[in-house]
Amino acid sequence: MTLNKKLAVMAAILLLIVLPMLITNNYFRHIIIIIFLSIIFGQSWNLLGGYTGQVSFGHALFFAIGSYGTVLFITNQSLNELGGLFGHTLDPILALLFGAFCTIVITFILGLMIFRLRGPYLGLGTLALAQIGMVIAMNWKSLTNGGEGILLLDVPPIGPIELLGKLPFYYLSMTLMLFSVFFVYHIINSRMGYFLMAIREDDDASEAMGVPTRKYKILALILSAFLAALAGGFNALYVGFISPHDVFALHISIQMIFITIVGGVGTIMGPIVGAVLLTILSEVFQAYLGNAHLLVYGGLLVLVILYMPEGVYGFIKQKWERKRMVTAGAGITGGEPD
Amino acid sequence: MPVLRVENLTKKFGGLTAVSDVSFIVDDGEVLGLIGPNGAGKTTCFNMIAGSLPPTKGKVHFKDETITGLAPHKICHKGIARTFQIVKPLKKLSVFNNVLIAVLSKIKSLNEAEGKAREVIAFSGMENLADKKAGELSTGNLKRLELTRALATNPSLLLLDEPMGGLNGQEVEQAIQLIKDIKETGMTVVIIEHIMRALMQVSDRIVVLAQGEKIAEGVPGDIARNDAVIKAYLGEEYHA
Repeated sequence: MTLNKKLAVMAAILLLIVLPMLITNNYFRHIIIIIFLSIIFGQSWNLLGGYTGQVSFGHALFFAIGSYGTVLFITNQSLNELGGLFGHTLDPILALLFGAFCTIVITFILGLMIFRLRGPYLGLGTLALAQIGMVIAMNWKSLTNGGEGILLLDVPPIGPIELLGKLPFYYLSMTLMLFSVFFVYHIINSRMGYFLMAIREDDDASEAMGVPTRKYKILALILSAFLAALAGGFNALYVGFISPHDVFALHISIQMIFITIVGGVGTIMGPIVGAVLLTILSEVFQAYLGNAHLLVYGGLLVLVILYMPEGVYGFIKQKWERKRMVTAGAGITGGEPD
Repeated sequence: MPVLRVENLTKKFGGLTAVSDVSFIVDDGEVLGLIGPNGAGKTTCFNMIAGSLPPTKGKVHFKDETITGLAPHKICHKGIARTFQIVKPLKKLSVFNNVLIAVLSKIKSLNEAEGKAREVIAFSGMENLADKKAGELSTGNLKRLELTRALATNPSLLLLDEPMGGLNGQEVEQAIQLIKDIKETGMTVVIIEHIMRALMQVSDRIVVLAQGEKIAEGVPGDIARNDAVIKAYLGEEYHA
């Protein structure tokens, strides 16, 4: 990262830290929390779908396992005793980590099987897995309370901080969001990142160059699922209620894909741009268009996908670079005598 | 001492026998030409040696080990690199990154790998294309990138599948020179090629396949006069 970029990132983080002082309206704070959550969605999906080229239609599965793991850690007595190790001062954090841990274990087993499939078949396979997950959650009543779902009556505090109102959730989601961005950024700029992009571009060529493609696909899936699980866990703490129909829902998987594609696939900024745009547009349309909001929202998505295949961020970046090239070129020719 | 020993290699696709009982050895530091008419089973042989296809029967020995049936990336780590007849560039990545990834499979440190990638790119004469996206290269340069990437894995045996297919005269000359340079470094090479003029120049020995079977083996001069080879290429009626 160049110095300028580092400064810009630090300024942005500072702004995010002071933002709640400027925005005291609970509704707007809620919208920002949803944007943060959406960014984690996008970073998660982008790592597997955008960088590694393995398209998943079932990311809700990881979101859901993360949220069930988190909630069960708090509501299940024997699990909750684990929190006693830290004197129950870190319970929500441990709950999030427990949800992520469950997701990692299950994803590892699924990863061993699912990557026998390639391309569109992989997409259908992941879609099916999410549906199977929902059926299991509906029927395993002793663990999940079935379709009635689980209500989190009171979320335990983190140390002295009570998780009440919007403010603590704002900072919790901000931390998770920043973590997800830096997490993916770090992976992409490492040896592993190059391997993931190689796999996206050509499976066979990567193998021939000595990249263990299966191992790295499974690794990418696990790390991507880990982020989705954190989002799921946070959402469960924030909303205070989960049920199979909410957390395994197809629209969550679709949301993750849209955020990435509209923003820009295979870039760190893409999911950020996508999350901001889609969350705000969705709120505005719902407020002004009532029942027709999905129609306009859908139409807009079609337009973006048709006319900006690189996503909004990719589109702007391309325009900007072309403009810079043209002005640089003009400078050279302009200096020459006629 | 043989680097590669192929023993009774056989591949059947359903009822079709693509490669039948083919055996040959490749000595250390040698360039072996593998020729034959279309459909003779040359590429299938490569795929079985490099691990992309499991053989129906037969064994592949590399140095002191049997490598039959290992995954392609494991065979690459043993020291065998291959190029594809139909090039497989990582299109959206730069030429430099294409080569870097091949280097990274064996060197873990990014800094060290970048240095090595620059070296290999210089060796194959692609410095001025390093920042270009692989998807924007011409056929000639794509073939060259394919070879450069294989070299970047630091192999002791190089399998080249038609590295000159689709090149113009000048590019063929450059490719011949590059293969001679590679031979100079002491690397062992097996090369499939249809351009006989080039193949005769670079190979020490030639193995000829026709319809999945080995029909001849020898030094280039003998192969050019071999009756069975002329018959396989030109058909019975031209056979004097």
